Amino acid sequence: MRQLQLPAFEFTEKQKEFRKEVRSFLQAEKQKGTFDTHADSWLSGYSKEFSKKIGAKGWIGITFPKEYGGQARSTIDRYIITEELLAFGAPVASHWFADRQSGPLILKFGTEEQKKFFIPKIVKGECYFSIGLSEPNSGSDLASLKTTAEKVDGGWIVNGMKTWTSGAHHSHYMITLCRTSQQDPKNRHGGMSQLIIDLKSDGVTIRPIQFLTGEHHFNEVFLENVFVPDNRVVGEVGNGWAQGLTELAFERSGPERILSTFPLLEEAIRLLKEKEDHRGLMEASKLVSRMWALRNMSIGIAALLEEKKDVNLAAALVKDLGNSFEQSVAELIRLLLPAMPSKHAEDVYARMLAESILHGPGFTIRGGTTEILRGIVGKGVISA
Amino acid sequence: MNEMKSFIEDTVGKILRDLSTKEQRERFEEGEWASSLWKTIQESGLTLLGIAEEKGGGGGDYEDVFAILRVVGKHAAPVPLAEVIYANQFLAAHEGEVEDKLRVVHFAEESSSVHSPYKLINVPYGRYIDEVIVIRQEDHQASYSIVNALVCEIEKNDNLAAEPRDSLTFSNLGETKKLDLSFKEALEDYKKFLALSRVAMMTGAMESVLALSIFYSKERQQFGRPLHKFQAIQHHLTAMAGEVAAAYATLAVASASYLSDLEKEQIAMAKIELSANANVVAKAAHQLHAGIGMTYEHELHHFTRRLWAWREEGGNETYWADQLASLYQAREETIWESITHVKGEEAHAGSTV
Ligand SMILES: Cc1cc2nc3c(=O)[nH]c(=O)nc-3n(C[C@H](O)[C@H](O)[C@H](O)COP(=O)(O)OP(=O)(O)OC[C@H]3O[C@@H](n4cnc5c(N)ncnc54)[C@H](O)[C@@H]3O)c2cc1C
Repeated sequence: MRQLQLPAFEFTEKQKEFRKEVRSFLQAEKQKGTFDTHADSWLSGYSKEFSKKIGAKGWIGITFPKEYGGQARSTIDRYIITEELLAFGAPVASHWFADRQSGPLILKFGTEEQKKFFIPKIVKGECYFSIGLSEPNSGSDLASLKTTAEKVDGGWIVNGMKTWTSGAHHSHYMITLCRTSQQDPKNRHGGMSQLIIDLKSDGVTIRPIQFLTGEHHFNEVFLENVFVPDNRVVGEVGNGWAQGLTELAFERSGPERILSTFPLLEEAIRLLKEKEDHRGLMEASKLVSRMWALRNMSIGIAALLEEKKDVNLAAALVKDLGNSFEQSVAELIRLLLPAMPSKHAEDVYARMLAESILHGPGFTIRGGTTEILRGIVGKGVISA
Repeated sequence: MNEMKSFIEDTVGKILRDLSTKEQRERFEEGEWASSLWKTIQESGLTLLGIAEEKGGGGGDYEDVFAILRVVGKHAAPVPLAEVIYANQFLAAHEGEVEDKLRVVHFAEESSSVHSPYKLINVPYGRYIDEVIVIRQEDHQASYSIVNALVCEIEKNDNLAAEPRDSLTFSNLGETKKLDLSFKEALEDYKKFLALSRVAMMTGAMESVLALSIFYSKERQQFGRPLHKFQAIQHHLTAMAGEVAAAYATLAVASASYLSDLEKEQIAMAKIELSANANVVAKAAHQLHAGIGMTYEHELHHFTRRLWAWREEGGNETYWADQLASLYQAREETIWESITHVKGEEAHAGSTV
């Protein structure tokens, strides 16, 4: 089956040099105490200072065109940055969605004014976005969403509610999927639009939802008669669903679907080596082999994306397999190196073990549940 | 994918589609050597692949070899192509020119092979081969002898897939020649080749298992619907497709590393992966096929039995994990440095990334 045949990709010497540069920078920052390594740092590691530092290096939106402040570099360079940040467990949550989704979306469908307004700020690490999709009664069945935008003079009036909105309390804007016309039972995916809502607007209320660790990651966002001017609609009115799908392969096959618990694995192997625990290293080597295989898949996809090939099927598979792998790391490691996992432990290993266990269930839920994903792939395999 | 490679793959695919049929495999399991299939393979130059033309070979490189072995696995061809390619290359390297014969190498690791009468166990296709190159430990060096298999006493045995793994007994080693390698080095070289061969063949077998499953899930109806309409069946298909894609990426990267500094670690990881996931694929496919998949009649078992057999050959997960554990222990590098092939600036004493 051709869609599953992924190529080997060799990083060039120049790309390896670049990786070295990123790594040296992170190493130095870590030594200075700018950040501590955490598992799943892309969900929970918020640091404006760090995002600005990364932005100053030119490492946010590195693929964006130069005229808007980007570097017009390749998706492979972005891949390298993303991998190094995750391997270090660095605090990247603030700018994460802007770099991965919102920036590319605006560049692809946005107006010139939107590009000039948002992109330079995103690139500097000063402008953060949240993703406003899920609602209390619309999770997997997203097309059933109820938040509506009604046309008025000069813009839209939005009413409704979003939930599970990661980082809304840190973000400046939320790309909000809402109904701009009545749902048509024959075309369930029509009639929706993407609006950029300024989270400081009148009528926006953000209420924290405590994460199961007690921390504050996601939120409920209430929208009551929020005015959104015409120039904050992204792309075409009514085309929001289709627009949202275009960047999905990047979201699903990126290193963050594989590496969320990698810092725990690296630390565990360091400890096993210290103890000269051969059996333990043998077991851990199987996790490393899995990670290596999934990374090869993910890089193969990145290489095909650079050539603008259709890789949707393989990309969905990376998310499914990668998420299961991320969960399996803590489950195996806890048996090799028994400890009392605690979020508050001073010991880095015990702390990251706790983070990996407690965040684990979310891996196979966020960005679309495993059940839904497998349904999509199963149908794709049949029709391929 | 380079064009030459895909051309060879397509050509071999056509040959095997015609000649490695279900009926051919069944006749093979009843004890009939696949002579016309083997003859066509030989005539196409596949047995001498990777050997320079001056030495009587067919040219090509190792990436071609592993690409073709994937196709061999895809068609579950009942022939020892991987083993013969290795034996021919071994002879080309040590003797110069090679004549194309049905030969395999055997490393005399078992105690029964130390003194005459020599007994070699688990020799691939022992009952069908012309000769076996026996590699033995002598003092601290390795030596090899070419033994005529036709004069050996044969005890038949086979692996899970009914591929012959026979015992050969003989009393005369004949002329013995020294190798400029230790026995351990020579064995490791073979293990790596065999492991990567099985990675390639398992990738192909997994592909066929997926294809059979897709076909059956469209054809078979229950509750008035084809099976693939059921979500639980979609999940089985996804599980298989995931492993097929992972196997592809694994094979591509590992075979590109063959003969480089990275080969040992990458082959170890590749074989661990394929061996560990062979049953993910086999299990899902059997569940999806249910009763019909448990019959001799349906050809699913030609592929699933090979997956179960091949996961043990060329070292299973335990063998290669042992190698990797020693590798990790012996070096300073972090896992991330070794995976990315880029070393950080700082020495990594104590805390890592
Ligand atoms: C850590 C985290 C961060 C998140 N961040 C964001 C964010 O920033 N923005 C945002 O919009 N959303 C976010 N989400 C929400 C996430 O996208 C939803 O949780 C997800 O889409 C599932 O929706 P749900 O929770 O309503 O579950 P439901 O859809 O109610 O599903 C419940 C269960 O039923 C299964 N199920 C549902 N339908 C089917 C079906 N047709 N077939 C088989 N099984 C089915 C599901 O797989 C699941 O197991 C986040 C979630 C998490 C965990």
